[in-house]
Amino acid sequence: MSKKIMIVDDALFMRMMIRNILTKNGYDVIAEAENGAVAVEKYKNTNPDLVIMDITMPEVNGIEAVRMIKKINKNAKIIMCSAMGQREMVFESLQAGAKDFILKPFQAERVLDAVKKATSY
Amino acid sequence: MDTSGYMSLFLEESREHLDNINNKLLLLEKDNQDSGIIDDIFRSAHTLKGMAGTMGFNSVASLTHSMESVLDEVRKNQLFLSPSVIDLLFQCYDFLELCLKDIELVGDDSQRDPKALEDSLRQLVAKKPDNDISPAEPVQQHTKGASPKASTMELDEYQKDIIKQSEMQGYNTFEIKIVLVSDCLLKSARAYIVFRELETLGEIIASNPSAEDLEDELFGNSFSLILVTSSDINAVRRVLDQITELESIEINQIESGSSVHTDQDTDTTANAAAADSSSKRKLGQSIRVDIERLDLLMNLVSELIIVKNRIQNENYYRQDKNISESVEYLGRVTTDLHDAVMKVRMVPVEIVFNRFPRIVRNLARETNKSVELITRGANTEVDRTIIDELSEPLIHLIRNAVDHGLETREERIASGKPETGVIILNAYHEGNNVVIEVTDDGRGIDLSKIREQIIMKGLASEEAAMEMDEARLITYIFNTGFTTSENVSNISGRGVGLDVVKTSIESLGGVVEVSTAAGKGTSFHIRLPITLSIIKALLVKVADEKYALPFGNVIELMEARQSQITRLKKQELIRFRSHLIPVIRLDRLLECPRKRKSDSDRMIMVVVKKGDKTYALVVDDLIGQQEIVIKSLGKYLSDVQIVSGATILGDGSIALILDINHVA
Repeated sequence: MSKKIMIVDDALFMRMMIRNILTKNGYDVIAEAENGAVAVEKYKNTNPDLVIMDITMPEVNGIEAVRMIKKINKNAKIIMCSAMGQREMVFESLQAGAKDFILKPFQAERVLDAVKKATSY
Repeated sequence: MDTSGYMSLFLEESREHLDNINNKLLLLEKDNQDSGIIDDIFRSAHTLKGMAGTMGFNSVASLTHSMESVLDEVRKNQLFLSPSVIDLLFQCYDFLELCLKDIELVGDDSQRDPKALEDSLRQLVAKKPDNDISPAEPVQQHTKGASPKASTMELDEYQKDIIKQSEMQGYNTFEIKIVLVSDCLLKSARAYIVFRELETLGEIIASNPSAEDLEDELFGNSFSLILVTSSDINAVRRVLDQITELESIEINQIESGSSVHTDQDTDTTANAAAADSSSKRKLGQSIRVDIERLDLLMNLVSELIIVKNRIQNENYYRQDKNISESVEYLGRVTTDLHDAVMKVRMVPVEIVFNRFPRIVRNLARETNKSVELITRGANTEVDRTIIDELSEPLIHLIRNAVDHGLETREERIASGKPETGVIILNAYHEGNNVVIEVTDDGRGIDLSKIREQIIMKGLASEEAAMEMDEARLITYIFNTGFTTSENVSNISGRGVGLDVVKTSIESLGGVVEVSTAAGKGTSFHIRLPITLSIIKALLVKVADEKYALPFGNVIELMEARQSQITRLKKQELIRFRSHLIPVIRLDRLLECPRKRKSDSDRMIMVVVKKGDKTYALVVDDLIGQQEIVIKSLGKYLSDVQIVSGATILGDGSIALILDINHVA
C-alpha cells in the first residue's frame, strides 16, 4: 500500500512541486495545508503516514504545528522543509520532534530519500 | 588534464606548506627530538609532492620525494638529525622556494635541477649502517608504519572506565564514524539528528570533534563518536540507515583495556590530519578569496561612500523627515559596511614576521653572532596592501640590527651582557595606526660618529653639528649614503638602507622613528595607518580650490588675526599653547590664484602635526569632515610630493589630498 503523505506549505508552488515529486514516485498525497493550524486539523482527520512541513508560515508556524501534532500522535513522522539560513528554527523543530529536514531549494532525490527513510520503519 | 585553473590555488597552498616546513625546521633546530615536528614536515613535503606531481612540476615533486625518504629515516630513528641534516633540509627548502617563484613567473620549474640536492639526500639515507631502503619505496607505507596510535580518538580515564564497566554489565561499545555527503548543508543539524537517534539506543560518551564543536559546525564532513548501548551492531546500523545525507557509516565494536581496536582498514593519513587539527587552536571556517575580488569590493564600497556623501550634500532631503532619516541610516550602514570590508582585508602581520626567524638565523651564522629573535603581537592585523610593502623595510631593519646593532659574542661578554643578543619584533595597534617596533639590545648608535659624518659630508657646519641635540642628530641616519659603520659587509653598511626604509614607510603614509641608548640598544618605531584606501579628512578651501587634510594629522582649528603673527627672519610664526609654531600659507605654497583679496584680517588656521612638530596652515574656509576615498594620482604625477592623492566629493568635484609630511 502506498504511503499517505500530507504537504504543508504556504506557497502553492512548493506544494505543487513536492506533490509532483511524490506522486510520480508512487506516494499518495492525501492532504495539503497552507498553514500550521489547517495542518493540525487535517492531520486529525486524515492521519497521514508522513508530514512534510514548511517552517515559516502564517497563523501557526511549522514548529508550533510539529508540537501540536506530536501531542496528538507522539509517533507522528514529520520532515521539516526549510529555507537556508534558518539554522535555529531547524534545531528547534528537531527538538520538537521532527524526524528529518530538507533544505530549499531542494533536489528531488533528497526529498525522496528523506521520505523513503522516514516511512520505511 | 588542464591544470591551469588550479594554478593560483596550487601556489597559495604550496606556499603555506613551504612556510610550514621552514617554521618547523627552525623548531627542529632547537629540539631535534620532537617526532611531532618531523611528522609535520613530512606531511607538508608529502602534500607538496602530491600537488606538484598533479600539476606536472617534476623538480618539486622529485625533490620532495627525496626529502620524504630522509625524513622517514629520521622518523624511524634510523638517521640522526644532525645540524648538517637540518642544513641540507633548509637548502631543499630554498630550492623549493625558487621553484615556486619560477612556477609563479614562468609557469614551470623545469629550469631548476634538483639532482645535486637529491644526491646529497640519498647519501644521507645510504650512510646509515643497514641500508636496504630504496628511495622509491611507496610512501603510503611510511605513513602507516609511523602512526599506529593515531587510529582513533583519545579517551580519558573516565571514559575508559565507563567502557570497562558497561562491558562488564553486558553492554556493547561502538566507535562510529560518520561521513556526511559532501554537499550537506546545515551539518550541525544533521549531526544533531545522528546524536538524537543514537541516544534512543544508549549513551554517547565521547565524540570527536566535541559535541559543542559539532553544534557550532566546527567540523569538516566527518565526525566520530563512541556509543555505549545494550543493542547490537545491526540495531545501531538500522537506526543510522534511516538518517539522510550520510555518505558513509563505519561502526566498529571496541573493547576496554587496550586502546580502541578496529578491524577495518582505516585511513591513517586522515586520522593523522584529524589529530593534527585537534592539536591546533580552534579555527573558524574560512574561505579563500582572490585579493582582486576584495579590491573590487573595496572599490564598490568607495563608490558607495561617494554617492552617500553626494546625497548628504543635497539639501532637498532635509525637508522630508522620512528621507532624511533614511539617508542618515544609509550613512551608518555605509560606515559599517566599510568597516566590515576593511576587516575582511585585514591580515595578521604574522605573514611577514614568519619569514624573519630564518633570516635572523642565517645572518647570525654569517656574522658568527648568537641571536635570539622574539616576536610579539604577530596576530596584529593590517590591511593587505600594507603587508605586501612592509616586508622589505623590516628586513632592512633586522639586517641592520644583527649586523650593526648587536655586538660580537666577545664584545658582549666583555661588556657584561649575555652572550646571546636579543632582537624584539613587536606589533600592536594604537588608535588608527599600527605600530611595529624592531628593537635590539646591542651597542646603540654612536652619536659622535653621526656628528663626524655630518661634518665630513658637509651636511651641516661644524658649530651647527656640535649644537645638535640627540634627537636631531639621529634623524641623519635616514639620509642617503649615511653610515656609521667602518667596514662594509655584504649584509649592510653600505649606507643604503635606512633612507630606503624611510621612503618606503612614508610612501605608505607612515613614519619611522628611532631611539637609541649607548650600550643598551636601538629601537625603530614604524607607525602606519591601518588602511590606505579610505580615510577621514578635513575638507578646506584655499582660494577656490578644495583640499583634504588627513584627520590623523589635524590637531586643532583656530582663528587668528594678522597681528598675532610674528616674524623670525623670513619665517612667520604664531603662538600655539605657549609654543611658537611656523605658519604656512597654503595659498602661496600651492600657488592658488586668489580672485579678490579678503578684507578681513581674521585668518582660519588648521594646526597639524608631523611627527612631533606642529605647523599652522592658513586656509580660506572650512568645509567639514568627511570620509574620503583616496584615488592615486597615477604614474604621470608621481613626482608631485605635496599631494598624496585625490578624492571625488559628493558634488562630483575633486579635492586634492595634501600630504602633511611634505607640506611642512
